[in-house]
Amino acid sequence: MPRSLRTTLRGSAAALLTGLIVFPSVGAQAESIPSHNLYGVPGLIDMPTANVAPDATLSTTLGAVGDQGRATLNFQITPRLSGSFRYSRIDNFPVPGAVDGVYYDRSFDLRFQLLKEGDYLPSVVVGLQDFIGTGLYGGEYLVATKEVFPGLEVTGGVGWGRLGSRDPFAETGHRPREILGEGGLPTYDRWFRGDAAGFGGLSYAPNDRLRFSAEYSSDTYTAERANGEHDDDSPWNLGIDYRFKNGAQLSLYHAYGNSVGAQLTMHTNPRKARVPGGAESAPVPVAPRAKGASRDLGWVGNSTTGYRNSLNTAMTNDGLVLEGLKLEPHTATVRLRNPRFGAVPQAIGRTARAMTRTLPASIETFVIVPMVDGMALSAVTLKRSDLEALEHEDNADILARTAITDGFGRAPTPFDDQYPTFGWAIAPYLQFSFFDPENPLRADLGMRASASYRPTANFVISGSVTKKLTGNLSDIDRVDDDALPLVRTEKARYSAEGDPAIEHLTVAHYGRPGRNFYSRVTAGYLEEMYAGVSGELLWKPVDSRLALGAEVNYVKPRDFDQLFGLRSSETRTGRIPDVNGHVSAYYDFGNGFHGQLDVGRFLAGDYGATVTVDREFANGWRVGAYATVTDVPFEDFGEGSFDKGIRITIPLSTVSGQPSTERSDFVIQSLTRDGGARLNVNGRLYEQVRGYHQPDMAKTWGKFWR
Amino acid sequence: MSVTFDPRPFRRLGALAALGCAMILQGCSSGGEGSELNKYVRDFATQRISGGSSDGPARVTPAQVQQVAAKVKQPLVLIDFPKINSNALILEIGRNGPVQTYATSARQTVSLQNGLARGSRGLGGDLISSDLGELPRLIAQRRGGIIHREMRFLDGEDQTVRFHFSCDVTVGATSGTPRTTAMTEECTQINGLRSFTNSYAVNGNGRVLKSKQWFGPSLGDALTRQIRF
Repeated sequence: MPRSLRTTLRGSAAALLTGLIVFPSVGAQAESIPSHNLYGVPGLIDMPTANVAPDATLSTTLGAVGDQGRATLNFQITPRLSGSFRYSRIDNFPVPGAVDGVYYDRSFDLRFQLLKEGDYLPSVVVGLQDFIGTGLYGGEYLVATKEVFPGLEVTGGVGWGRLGSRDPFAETGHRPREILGEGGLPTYDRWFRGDAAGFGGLSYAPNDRLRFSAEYSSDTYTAERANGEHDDDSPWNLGIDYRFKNGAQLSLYHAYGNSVGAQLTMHTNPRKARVPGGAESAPVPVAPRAKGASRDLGWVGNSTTGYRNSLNTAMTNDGLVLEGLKLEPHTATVRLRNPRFGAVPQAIGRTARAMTRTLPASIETFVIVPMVDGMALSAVTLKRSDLEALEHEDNADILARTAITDGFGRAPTPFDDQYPTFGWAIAPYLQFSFFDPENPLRADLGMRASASYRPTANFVISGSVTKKLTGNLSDIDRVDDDALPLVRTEKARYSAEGDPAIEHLTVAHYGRPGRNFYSRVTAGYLEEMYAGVSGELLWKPVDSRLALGAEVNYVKPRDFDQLFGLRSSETRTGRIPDVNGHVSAYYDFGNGFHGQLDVGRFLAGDYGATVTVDREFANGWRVGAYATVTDVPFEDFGEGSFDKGIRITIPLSTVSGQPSTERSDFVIQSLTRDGGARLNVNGRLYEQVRGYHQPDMAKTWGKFWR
Repeated sequence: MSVTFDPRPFRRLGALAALGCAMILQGCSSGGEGSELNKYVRDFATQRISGGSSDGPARVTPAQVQQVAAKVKQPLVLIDFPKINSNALILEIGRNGPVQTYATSARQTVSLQNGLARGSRGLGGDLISSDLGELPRLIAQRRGGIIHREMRFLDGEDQTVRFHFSCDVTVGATSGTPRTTAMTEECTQINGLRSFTNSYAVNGNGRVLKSKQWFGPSLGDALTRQIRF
């Protein structure tokens, strides 16, 4: 079923560059990362071991042996749980869905460590291989690994499914062959059922660089032998690994008694940064006041332009924008815009340092109100004498004396010369589509011009135009048989005809309708396929880990040429409804996990919910997965049954070592289909707001004095 | 869309000193000094402490040290980080209680309390802060003893990590001109495997003239020499 195999990867050129730069790098933990196998999970050659990578290790494996090619992304979700996404290619495998004898498939694995290795007990891992979908690689295992002598590891396990196909010694129930739904559902009816067989192996690492492996495989490649050209001459596979200094693993294999294979695995870890704490330049020192100077109120009543100018100079030096300033005899309130620091406390800390150096000595209370799109996101209140006393102390001390409160109504008005503003940029772009069976990598290269105009702090008029230079994204010639209106599946036509294309052209208003509330209204050409009006309201108390939101959109489909015209909402398979929208709940679990639930009506008029869970790191990295289920019956949704995917966010600062608010998002999603599709409107509120609130700021507070 | 690497730290050569002066000017409006210092810093103290560079910056020569010392009035320290192969002449730009903050021209700072490390910024893998416990008192009095200290760093996730050490301070011989007392501080981590040994040359007034001090796992040891208090 090739149509379900194409997966798109959305991302910018920055995302790709970031990925290329980040993925090969690794921290000092390289030695403790176990060898990975051809499936891209800790293992010997084709068989898994019970080794477990350090928490948060993100590994990319490219492997090939015989007719099999596998690309795997493996993430250690918690210290015991890991998950994998795999895209594989099998040559000489003319089954239904293959293109010219080449079959592509996606698969997901989960592994859980039941027992940690001890002095006498082995590590024990239970694994589900290809547990969602068509299950070509489907298999389950229970495996134990023990280092019996320094460098020498012994592994033994029991496998079911694919891993139970050689000389099974037992049978546990009946293993069905029928695919659940339209492929894409967990194959729970098969797990640990049917024939069970044993596998095992040895590996020996004489030093940090080399490792020799030998295994007895319990996989006879039944399907490949029946439909393809696979020969299973021997159950014994042999391998040699070489470990590079940066932790990357290069392996050569001899497998099935007749084939050679090779593999490259690269590791990274979101918990490692290129430069711990960042390489950015130093902040200015706090300037303590002279004793008794705080009683001097001689400045009150005189012009304060000088104070404003010197504070402005100091903040500009740190890449911060002083948008407004209110000076009272004992209190100063700064309206701050932070285009530079991804870790908000660093922007607050540097602003506070600059204030100690520039403001009259009688001012004891500093209130810093950070602004985004004219919304006062919080009000951070600091005592100047605390800043003076704690400059060289533990950052937890100043956090304990800092009040982070709602910014509603706290911001001084902006200086007259702050607005209107105008900005523009012209830059090249790259757009990718991966995993199309007819062409696994498609890309467009072009130029993008963008501009924004802000008549006031809260209004943004912005747009962007692209002109394709070269590429083959529009060559996709799929025909869909959906039972839903074609809300997303005419992507190829948009791509082909939209040249040049107006990506978006909108006027947006952001506001604070009340305490705890944030609002957005966006109108115009909202995204490449839809124009209309989008309204959003977010409830997010400044110290709350819970946020609730609601969004309603009124949309009409745009012309395929992506210029100013609209087209009829009628499509070949039904009418695109005018109204869609969601209510959303966001919750920060506080243990590094974040959940989001969106319930509502999707673009095609289907009702349903999206559940998203992310592992989040304080430095801005995120690795997560989502799934959308709607009231569309699986057979109407089409192959894949429902929408699901993986997303990874990489902050530029962890790659460059320099502070930045820029992040790159990778989304690896199942084939874009018409069910469970959402509008892609810019400027959704939650991600803008949360970084400036207490829970997120507390996580990155270590940067306050940095 | 595009990857933009911010060149700010390189462009703003001497910006920190200039900034300090701009602020002083605001309050006291004594011109000239600021720009002279700024120029001075550009001319002679342009050694940027750079993490991991293979060649390392040029060494500060004794002649340069003398020239700088003759021109500026601020306290001066010559500091050397052998692990990252770099050295610089740093001058005081701020003082908060007992802690003096010294800077290079490239907006990197080192904060010292009577020559003892309290923090660094802009070097990469910085010492964020440290609590020296009773060490400053023992050094000033040139007395031995057991002290506890805490050193704080940021990890790859920008989370604060705190290392606790128990240290044995011992007093050695007094010798040389000017006469200094050699003091040694041997530290071992509590609930950890790290250890380091610092050494200090303390003068008759209890001030640290020279030292070798551990600045953390990334920066390693720093060799300092107080050119002027």
